[in-house]
Amino acid sequence: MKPASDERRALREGLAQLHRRGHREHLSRVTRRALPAAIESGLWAAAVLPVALLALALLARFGGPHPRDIGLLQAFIGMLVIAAAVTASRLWLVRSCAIDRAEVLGECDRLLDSGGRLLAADDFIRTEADGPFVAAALQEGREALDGSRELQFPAGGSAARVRARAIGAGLAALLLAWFITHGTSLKIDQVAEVDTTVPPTAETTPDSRTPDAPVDTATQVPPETRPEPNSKPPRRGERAESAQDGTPPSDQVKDSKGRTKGGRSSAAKSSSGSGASRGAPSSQSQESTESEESAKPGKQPKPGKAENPESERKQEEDASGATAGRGSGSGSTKNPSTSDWTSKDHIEAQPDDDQGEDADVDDEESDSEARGGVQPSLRDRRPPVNRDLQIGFASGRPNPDANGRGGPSPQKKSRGVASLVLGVPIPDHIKGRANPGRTKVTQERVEPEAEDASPAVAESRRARENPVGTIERHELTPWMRELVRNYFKRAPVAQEN
Amino acid sequence: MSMQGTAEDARKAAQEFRDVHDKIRDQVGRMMVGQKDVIDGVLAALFAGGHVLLEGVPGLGKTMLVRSLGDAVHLAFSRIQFTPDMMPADIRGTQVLVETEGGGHELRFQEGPLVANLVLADEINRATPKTQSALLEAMQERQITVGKETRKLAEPYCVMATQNPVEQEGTYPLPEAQLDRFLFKLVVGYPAESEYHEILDRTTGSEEVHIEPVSDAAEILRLRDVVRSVPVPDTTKTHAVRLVMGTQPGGEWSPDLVTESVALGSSPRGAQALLLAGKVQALRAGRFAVSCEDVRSVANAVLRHRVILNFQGQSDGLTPDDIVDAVLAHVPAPGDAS
Repeated sequence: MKPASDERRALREGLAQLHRRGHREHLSRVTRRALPAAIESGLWAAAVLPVALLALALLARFGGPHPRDIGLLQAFIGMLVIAAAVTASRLWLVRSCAIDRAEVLGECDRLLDSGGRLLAADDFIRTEADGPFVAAALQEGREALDGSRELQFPAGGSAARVRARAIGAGLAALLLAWFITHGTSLKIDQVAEVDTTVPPTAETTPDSRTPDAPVDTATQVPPETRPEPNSKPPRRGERAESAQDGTPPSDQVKDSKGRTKGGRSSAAKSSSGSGASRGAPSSQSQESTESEESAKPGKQPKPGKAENPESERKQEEDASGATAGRGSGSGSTKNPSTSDWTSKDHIEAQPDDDQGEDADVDDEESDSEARGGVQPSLRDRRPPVNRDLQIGFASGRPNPDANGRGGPSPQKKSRGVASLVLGVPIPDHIKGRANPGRTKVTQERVEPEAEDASPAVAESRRARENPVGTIERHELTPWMRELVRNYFKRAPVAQEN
Repeated sequence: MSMQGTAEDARKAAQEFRDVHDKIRDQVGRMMVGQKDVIDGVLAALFAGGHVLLEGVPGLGKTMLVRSLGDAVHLAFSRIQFTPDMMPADIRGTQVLVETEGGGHELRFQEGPLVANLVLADEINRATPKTQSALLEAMQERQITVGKETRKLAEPYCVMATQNPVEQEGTYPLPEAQLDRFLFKLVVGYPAESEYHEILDRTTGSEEVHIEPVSDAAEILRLRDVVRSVPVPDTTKTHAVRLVMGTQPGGEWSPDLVTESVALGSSPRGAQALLLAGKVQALRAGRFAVSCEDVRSVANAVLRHRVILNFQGQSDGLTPDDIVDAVLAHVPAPGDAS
C-alpha cells in the first residue's frame, strides 16, 4: 500500500530543503578550504606583470614605450586585477564542480548518525519504490529529517594558510614593479646588459689585452678585428707567424681564451695546429707549452723536454716504430693503433724508458689534457701477454709465457673466442684414436644339453594323515540363490536365441 | 514477506527476525565463548541462505560452533570429516541393491551425509578435488545427482566448511569456483584472556551445557523471506558494485595496490553476497533499508576469499584483507569524502 502522497510530498520537500542547506554549507566549506590555494595562485600570477614590464624595458632599447611611462600605480592596479581574477576563477572552478545529492545527504546521515536513513528515504522517494519495508524506511527517514532541523554542519575552517613563499613572490613582484617603474638610479638597459654579458674571468692573461683597454670592453670584439666578409681567412701558418710576431691572435683564439680556464683551451688549439702538418712544425706548440708552464707556476719544466721537443718526438717515434703524425689526427706521436704489438724490441726497450718515467708522467698527462680531454695513458702501452696455446717449445719444454688465452700467432686456436673466427686454420689437437670406451661385446655359441630328470611316481603319494578340519561353506542367502537360479534358467534360453 | 503489507507488518517481521536471531545467538553463546563476530557471521549466512567457510587453527571451536548451531535451530545436522581417500559417493550417497518384501531386489538410493540441513564439512581442503567438486552442485543448486536421478535437498540447506590454514601438506586448496560459492569466509581467531577462563570453567567442570532448540527449519525459511524483502537503495547498490569492481585489477574503482597485487578479483556473485549480507546487517541494526555502512561492514568477510593475489602480492606479504581494506579506503561511502 502506498503511503499517502501528501506525506511523500512533504518528505520530498523536507529532503530537498535539507539538500539545499547541506549543499550551501558544503560549498562554503569547500570555498574556505580552497581559498588559500586560490590566493597563492593569484599572487604567483600577479608576478607575471613585473616580469612583463622587465621584458618591456629590454625591448625599449630597440624603441617603444618604457615601463617608466606606465607608473607604479597603474602597475599595482594591474597586479591587483590579475591576482583577483585568477583567485576568483579558481574559486569559481572549485564551486562549479557538481556535488552529488547523495554526497550531501550522506554527510547529513553521518552527522546525524542515522545510519543512512535519509539517503534511503530520498532514494525510495525518487524511485517511487513501494512495499512494507519501503514504507517503514520512509517513516524512519521522516523521523531522521525531523532530527536534522537542529543539525549543525561543521565549520570546516581553512585547512591550510597562504604559504610564505607565495606572499614573498607577491612582495617581490611588487618591489620589482616599483623598481622598474621608479628605479631611476640604475638604468634598466644597463642592468639588462650586465645580465646578458659574461663576467670577465680572472684567467684572462693580461698580455692578451691592450693595457689601456677598459675591463667591460674586453669581451666586445673590436670592429677592426672582425674579418672582412670578402677577405679570406688567414692560413694556419700565417696565424702562427702572427702569433710569433706578437700581434693579437685571431678572434677564435681570443674567444677561446675568454671562456676557458687557464688558457688551456687556447693551448689545445695551438697544439692541434701544430699536429696538423708534420712538415711544418709549428712554433705555436712551443708557445703552448710555455703558456701551459706559465699557467702552472708550481711545476718545474723538464729541462730536456722543454729544451728540445724535436729530439723528444724523434725518440718517441723510434721507440714505437710507428708512423706518427701522418694524418691530421690528434697530432700525437704516440699512436697505439699503429704500433707493432709483437715487437720484442719495444719490450726490451721498456726498462730503458722507465728511467725518468716519473718525470714524464706529468708531461704526458698535461699533453693528453691539452689534446682535449682525458685519454688512455700512453705509457701503459705494452705488448700483450704471450697467449701461445702450443704445448711446448720445439725442445719439449713447456712454454712459460703461455696462459692459454689465445694469442698473437696467426694460427687459430681451438679454444676460446679465437676459435670462433672463420678463415683461420684450426690445428687438430687430438692425437691418436678416439677413446673406444669400455663396452665389449662377446658372442659365444653354446649347444643345448639334455639334463636328467626323475619323474614323480603317483603311487608314492600317500594319503593325508591329519584331518582336514572344517571346510567353510558359504551359505547363499535366499535372494542370492534366487539370483543364481534365475541366471541359469535364463542361460539356456539365451543360448537358444 | 508480502509486498502488499504495511509499514507495521514490516516492523513486526523485523522484530521477529531480531528475536529469533538473538535467541539462537544466546544458545550458541552458551556453548561457544567469545567469537561474537564469527557467531554473527554464521547466523547471517544461515539467514541469508549462504554457506560459510571457517578458517582457523585447530582447537578454536569451529566444529563445536556449527554443531551448537545445529542443535539450536533443530535442523538435521551431519558432519563429514574429509580425508584424501574420500570419494564423491561417500558424501553424496550411492545406490545399493536391497531386497524387497516380496523377495525381490531393487536398487535403492542410500543417502550420504551431504543430505541434511546443516552440513559440517570438516577440513574440507583435505579431500581431493574430485570430492570437493561433488559439493559444488549441492551448494549452488541445492540438489545432488546420482546416476540419472537428481534429488532436491531439503531447505534450509547450509554447508559450513572448516579448514586449517597452517597444515597445508597433503591438502588440496579449494578451487576458485568453489570458494566463490561460499557467502562468507570467517577467520576464527584466538580468544581473549578473559575468554580463556570461561572456556576452562565450562569445559573442565562437571557441569554439562545443553543447548535447547529455539527455532526450526520452517521459521528459518520464513525469516529468509523477511531478509530478502529488505529493500536496497540505488546508492547502496552502486556502492556495493564499486566495492566489487575495486577488487578487480585495472578496474575503474580499483586502487593501485589492487592493480599491482591482485590476479583475480571478485565476481558479480560477490556483489550479490554483499547485498544479501547487508540486508541481514540492516535488520540486526533495526533498519528497514540497507545502508552503505551495512555493506562495508561485511565487505571483508564477503570479499576476502574472492580475491586471489598474484605473485607480487604474495611476495609482498599482503593478505586479501589488506586488499579489501585498500578498496574500502579507496571507495568512500557517500558523505564520507566531504
